[in-house]
Amino acid sequence: MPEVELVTDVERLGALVPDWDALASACALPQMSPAWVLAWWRHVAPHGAVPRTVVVRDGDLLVGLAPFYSTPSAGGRVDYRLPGIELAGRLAPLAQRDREWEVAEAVAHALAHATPRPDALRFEATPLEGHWLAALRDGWPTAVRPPLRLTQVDGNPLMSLREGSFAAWLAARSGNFRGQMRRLRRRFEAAGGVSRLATHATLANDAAALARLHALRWDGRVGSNLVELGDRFAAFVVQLGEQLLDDGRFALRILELDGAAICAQLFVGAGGTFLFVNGGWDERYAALRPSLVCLLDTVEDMFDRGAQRFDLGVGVQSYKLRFADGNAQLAWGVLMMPSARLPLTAARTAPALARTRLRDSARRMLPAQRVEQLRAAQRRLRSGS
Amino acid sequence: MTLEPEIVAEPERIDALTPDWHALAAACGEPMSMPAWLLTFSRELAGARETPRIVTVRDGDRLVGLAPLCADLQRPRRAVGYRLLAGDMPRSTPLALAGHEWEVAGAVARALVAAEPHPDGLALESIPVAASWPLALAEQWPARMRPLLRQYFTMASPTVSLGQESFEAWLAAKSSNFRSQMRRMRRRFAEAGGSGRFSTRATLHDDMAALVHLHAGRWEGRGASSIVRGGERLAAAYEAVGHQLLEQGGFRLRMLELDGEPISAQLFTAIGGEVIYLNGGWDERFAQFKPAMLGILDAIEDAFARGERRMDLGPGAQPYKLRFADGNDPLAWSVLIPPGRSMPRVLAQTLPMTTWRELRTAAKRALPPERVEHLRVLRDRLR
Repeated sequence: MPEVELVTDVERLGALVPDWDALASACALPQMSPAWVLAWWRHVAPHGAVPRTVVVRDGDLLVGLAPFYSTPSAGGRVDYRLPGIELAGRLAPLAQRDREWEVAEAVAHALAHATPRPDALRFEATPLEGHWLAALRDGWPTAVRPPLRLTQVDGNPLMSLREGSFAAWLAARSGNFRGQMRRLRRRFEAAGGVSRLATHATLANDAAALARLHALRWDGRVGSNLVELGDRFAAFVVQLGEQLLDDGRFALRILELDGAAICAQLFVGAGGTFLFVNGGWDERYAALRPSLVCLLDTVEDMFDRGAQRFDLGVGVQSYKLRFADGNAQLAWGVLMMPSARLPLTAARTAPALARTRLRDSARRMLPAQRVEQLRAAQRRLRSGS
Repeated sequence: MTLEPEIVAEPERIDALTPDWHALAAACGEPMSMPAWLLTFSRELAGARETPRIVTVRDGDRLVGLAPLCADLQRPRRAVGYRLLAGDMPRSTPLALAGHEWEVAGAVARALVAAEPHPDGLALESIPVAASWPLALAEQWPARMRPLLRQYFTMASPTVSLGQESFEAWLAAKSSNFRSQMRRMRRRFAEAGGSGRFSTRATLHDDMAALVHLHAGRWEGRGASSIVRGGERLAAAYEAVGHQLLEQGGFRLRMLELDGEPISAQLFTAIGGEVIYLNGGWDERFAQFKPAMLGILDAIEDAFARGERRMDLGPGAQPYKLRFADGNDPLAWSVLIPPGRSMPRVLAQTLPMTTWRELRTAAKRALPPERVEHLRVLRDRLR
């Protein structure tokens, strides 16, 4: 039987780093690595959040780690969540391969007896193809399995990098794609553009450029978590870079024209997978298609680093689909704990579920054009314009 | 990628599909979804109960996905149920190239909506939990209303990771207690004059008969077993699959013998680095040799020699499996009911079965293990 420890302070998490990092690499989840999660705790964690990380060991071997945190939501419902949705998706507990079920049972037992007692486990952008949603539900130590309600499903484009080299990858793409990419690179170089990666020396300035360029893209629009984080985002990037740059697991790519950054994109790696975290670019240079040039340079860099997979992040935007050769769905959902408070939890979850159902019904019943019109109207309403 | 689904129903066209289908099962590492298993079992055992509806999904000429389904058209007054072909097979599942599961499921859903006869319900039984087929189909079902989806049962399926460099390295990583027990078992069996071998084309018929005989012996007076129920017809179906897969290593029947007599037979199937333990039987007179464990140990050693990556010990967390297992890849049973006029009827038809399964699960969760065992014994006696 595995041994379980519930860690409730951030300092103790620091002591787990080497084994935790190896497990995050084995799971190929850079967004669940200790460098990422500890930087999140320092710069991004919401006010009032407290760690409730479940550590599962089999003898000396770390077989699972679920870095949940607890936060009271409106109305006093106690939610347990995984850290990092402000920054990226594909959030999941970690476990040795094929031991997810066993780890989930241990995690469920620990959380069921944790203080404060969780009313709900909230999953945000959790991989659908894994075991976690079903396994935590099944392992919860109550006679009745907790109800699971999914509120959203979204795509997560992936590149397999199976071709082994950038040249082979490019050769396997369509003639149209190759022609466009070569043209873009040529045009950027002809304009005097420079593509480079952040170093320790440039990290602080480059992180600030990333935050600035990202905010520029979202100017006048709402909905970017990174913009809402303000300076904390750049501070998070700097801490992450300091931890991972020397291991070759941090890539902040900057495109410059005349010495000024016009595009920045952040990538983080673990276990052969690199995650595209986010980016931004200056719209004045839209003609140069900086985000595509930056992504192309990064793909080349990924091959040089021997990566096996490139995770393009949450959302199936068309520019990602130009590069992707696969897709893995992510789910948002709530696991509601059976207890005397379940009706209250269900009532507080109902509005989100109703919105989901309504959105789903609209998507199913209305023509695509009408759905897009409604989406645009919603965006306008949110931004108040 | 533009995916084109098509429903293949004609036997000749299904047969023509088998090379691509087999290659896809290999790419996915899904032995129980090989056409050799599903088509043979469906044709030999299910017969008219199953009307094949194989949904293929292609990207140009390339087969990227396949859902081996069938319709039950035997009961005209009942709703039309679709399910996986040879539905009794554990761990058979729709197939899709890695990274394309969601798109393939969307294409399969589009094809099923237009299928003739129209499916009133779709049962996906004993497919891997980790695959998200039921949800992917429900989410992308092209109808004004989302189909009802109910996952009503899950079952453990212990697995052995073969990630180590060699069988010796794997054994060295186990506890000293396990190692010494395994070595002792092998020594004792060898000293008694025992020997082990895998079936060949020449021995397959007799070995299969021995498997059925030994399995039936183990189950005598102990309720239901699909092999006992299936009898000679099932043995013939296994044998037919064996003839198709033996040479390529996809069908492995491990025999243990003492004085030339089989005392244990265990059946494994494999493709794409994944090995599955299907079933077995052994002679209780030789229980002291622990033949079931010896057979699995031999099969693990053989899998290492072939460079395979995982052995799935099949549904059920029996203690002898747990001695070997270092993982679990459970199976799930789900039913999907598309919106339509027959929805209430299908709900009414499936409700007793799904409720019964859920009640059993709740009882297992709520009651102490000894009470659950007591109830199980009582049920077996009643049967």
